Amino acid sequence: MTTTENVVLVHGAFVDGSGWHGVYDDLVRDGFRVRIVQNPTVSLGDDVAATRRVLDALDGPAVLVGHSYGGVVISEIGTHPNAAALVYVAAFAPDRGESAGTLIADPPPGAPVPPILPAHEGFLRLDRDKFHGAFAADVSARSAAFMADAQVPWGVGALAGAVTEPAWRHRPSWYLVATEDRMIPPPAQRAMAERAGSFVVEAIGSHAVHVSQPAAVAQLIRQAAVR
Amino acid sequence: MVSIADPLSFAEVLRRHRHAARLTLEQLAEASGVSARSLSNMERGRSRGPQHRTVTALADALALDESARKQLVELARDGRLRDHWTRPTGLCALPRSVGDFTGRAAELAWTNDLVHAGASPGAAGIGLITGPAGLGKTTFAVRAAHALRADFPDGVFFLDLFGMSPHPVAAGEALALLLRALGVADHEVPNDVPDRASLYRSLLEGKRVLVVLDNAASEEQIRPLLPSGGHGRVLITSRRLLAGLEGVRRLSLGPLPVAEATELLTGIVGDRSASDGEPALTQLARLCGGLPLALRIIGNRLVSRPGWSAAELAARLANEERRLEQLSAGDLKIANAFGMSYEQLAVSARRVFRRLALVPGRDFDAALAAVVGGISVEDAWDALDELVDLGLLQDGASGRYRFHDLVRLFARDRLHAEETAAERDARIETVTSWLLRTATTAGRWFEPAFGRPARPDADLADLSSPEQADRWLRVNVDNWLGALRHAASGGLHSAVLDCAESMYWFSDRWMHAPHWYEVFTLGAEAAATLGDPARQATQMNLLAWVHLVPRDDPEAALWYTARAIDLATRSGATTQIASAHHHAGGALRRLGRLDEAIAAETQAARIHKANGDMDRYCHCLASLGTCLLDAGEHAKALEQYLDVLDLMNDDRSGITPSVASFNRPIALARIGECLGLLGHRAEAITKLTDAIGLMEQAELPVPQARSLKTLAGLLADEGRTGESRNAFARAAEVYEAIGDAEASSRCRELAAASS
Repeated sequence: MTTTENVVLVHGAFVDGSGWHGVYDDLVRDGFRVRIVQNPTVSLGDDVAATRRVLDALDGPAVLVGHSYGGVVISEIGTHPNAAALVYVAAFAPDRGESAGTLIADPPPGAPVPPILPAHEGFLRLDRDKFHGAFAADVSARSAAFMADAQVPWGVGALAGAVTEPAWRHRPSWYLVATEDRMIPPPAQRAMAERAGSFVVEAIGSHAVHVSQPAAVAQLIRQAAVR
Repeated sequence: MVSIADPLSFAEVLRRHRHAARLTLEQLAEASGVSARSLSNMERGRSRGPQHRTVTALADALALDESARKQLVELARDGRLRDHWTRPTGLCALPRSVGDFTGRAAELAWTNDLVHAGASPGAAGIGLITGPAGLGKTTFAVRAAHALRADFPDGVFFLDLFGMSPHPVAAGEALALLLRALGVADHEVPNDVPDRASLYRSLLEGKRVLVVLDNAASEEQIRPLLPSGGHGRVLITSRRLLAGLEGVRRLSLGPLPVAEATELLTGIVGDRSASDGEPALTQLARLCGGLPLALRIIGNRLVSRPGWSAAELAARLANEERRLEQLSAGDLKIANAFGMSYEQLAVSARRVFRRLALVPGRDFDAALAAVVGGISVEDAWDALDELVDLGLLQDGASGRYRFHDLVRLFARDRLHAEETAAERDARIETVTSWLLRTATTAGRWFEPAFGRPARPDADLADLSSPEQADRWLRVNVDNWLGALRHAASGGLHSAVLDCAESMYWFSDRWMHAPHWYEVFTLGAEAAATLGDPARQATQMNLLAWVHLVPRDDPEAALWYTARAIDLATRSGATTQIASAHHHAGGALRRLGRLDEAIAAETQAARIHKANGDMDRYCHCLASLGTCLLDAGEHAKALEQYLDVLDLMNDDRSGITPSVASFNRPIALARIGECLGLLGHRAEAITKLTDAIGLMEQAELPVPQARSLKTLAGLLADEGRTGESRNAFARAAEVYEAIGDAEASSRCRELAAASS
């Protein structure tokens, strides 16, 4: 049994790569080489390019991890020769021709509506007063307030970016469902994971489960790294 | 005057001390920190075995002198043990839930959803809870199972699979335990794993039961234990992800959030929390990483060592964390918490603690702890009390103790750091020798030639009755088996062989134990290495028995009997030659090769008779009768059993009286069966009635149940309906008493049908 030693982490919308800190610490302690993509989330093409540059620079195969919208990015770039396995963390796993936008267009009845403000100059923001409850209910109020004020506006181009050939059709995938997610409804997460044929784990956590439960996320990544 | 025969109770002694000190309940409560209500419960005998920590607080408050304090401590210890003894421990019973369980509301809701979700595709009501050690997976699963109890009227069962130990429970063994808990009698448990699994699945399908499978090791271990739909539900905990399991809903359990962790800590330290202050406790909770195991250990440490404040402890922990930050997060936090308690122990308790990591089995008692620690049993009791107080050990049923896996690792770590390899090896040798000598002495209790040990080594465990010996061997099986393995790998062949030989008779009393194959294989290998074919033949015969009786694999049994005959012939061990023929006869009969079986039993009988071994001779004659009965030769079988009965009734036959009184009623019952088959019903009824009376006296319920059923059938054939009904009803009762629910309900139906 060998282990993939590289891990590449791709963040989602409204945040940047610093949210991976806990996961990073956990994996580095176990000897993994962890790279964090700082994807601008303006257009899918740019984000894919940013991730490709990181993958190109690796000396060998990696576990490619996407959170939230990061799942769209890894689904598009995940067929890269250095991407050995995919891990979705409360993430979108679009099929051919789907985008984050099409996947959230038709929410199941009764699902909580993410407090996304109307687009302004091509960018979406989350209502900062509702950020804590909607995005990160299980991190402290102080941290959530900081995340709300530090949020990265999400480009509508990224939202609309459609996947051409979903990598989960070609690579083994793992999926962590956040059961208390109020951004992407957990039933939608389970459905996407099932469609992708992923190995599924649930964690009781908000959409920011990678911040609140880094150990559970790291554990799943370690699993994906075993081949 | 108090007579010696009627010793004072803890309650009585406590009340006398309180009166002597002229304290009211409230004043003593005030002085000791123990609540007045708890005190009142103790003095009224409602809580007979308070925790050690509580007792020492009372002794301090009462300013007892050394001997009075010792008496009070010992009375409380007796009370705790008695509570353990009398507590009902059903098969696979769900442990009690901890009183101060905190948080996990969303996770409990998850399990609730899981068991109530219909048979949704892809999830057959199986929940798998994973996460690293110390997160409280077991505590959580037990809590969830208690909360769900009302939904499972057919029962909630719990089984520890010891996934992290070097010898996890094998799937077949786990199935046997679960089947017995589900009401299947010992002898009704199928022999191979697939049959056990399918019986288990069919039982689970029709019943509303919840099974908690704790600490699973691997997919292979767990797969046969899963239901395939229906009403049964299963909750599994594991430190591994078990990615190969399909159709399972998985929950990755996280640490407690800081608020809940602080709440748990506050609950454990109780009244102290006011003086320690919330910021210090929050800081401690944070340093424990929200890991319940670390929180409990730190909490217990605060309560039992009141001299330290939470703030001081937090500062120490923070310091340790910086020093050791190369360790992985979870383990580090836990090791630090353990370290805080470990260094508070007296030197001798520390030594016992780290050396307990050498215990080969899953749990241990004070006697074994004393051997491991190299101290007296009294000192071991004190050390164990202290370790339980600090949460470093868990006390289980009947005075037995066990580690949490992580604490054991910590203890082993300390052992390797603080003692030399030579010291460790010497300890292991001492423990191995003690376990093997105790097991061998206990095993010999059941050997007619040995019985009560004449001059047992003074240091052995108390084995003054066969009941004690039986119990010791059963509860310590992991320990003595571990010692046997260690001795075998270390070349102590003679001790290994002695121990395996001593199990000759005991194995028959505990035939469904899964260990006999390994024990006798180690014995056979030891005999081979020692170059002793006669003793090797004995072990081969025992292995033949293992395959014939508990394993029901007559083909394999024949392989062993052939080896045994070969070895015994070479060494002229005629008794073993005869035993091998006898086992071969049993195997051949099972295979339907009746002519060969009759020949083998005849030969065995001839050799035993020539040796003057009348007990075994008689046994072979009875087996011959069974072969004839199988072959439909009812008249010859009858003749054979009549010969056996004559021998039993002949005082000068040389048969041991206990063997005769055991076999007489069985021979009589067989005579009754033969007569019935030959059409002599009235005579058959008389013989069976006599046999049943004798079995009642000799307490032989298994053949009694069978005889009652045969009798009931004959009575019905004779048209004696009322008597037949009574006999069926009685058979149903006896079958129920021996745990054979299926046969019992069959007889009950027959009783109802005959009215």
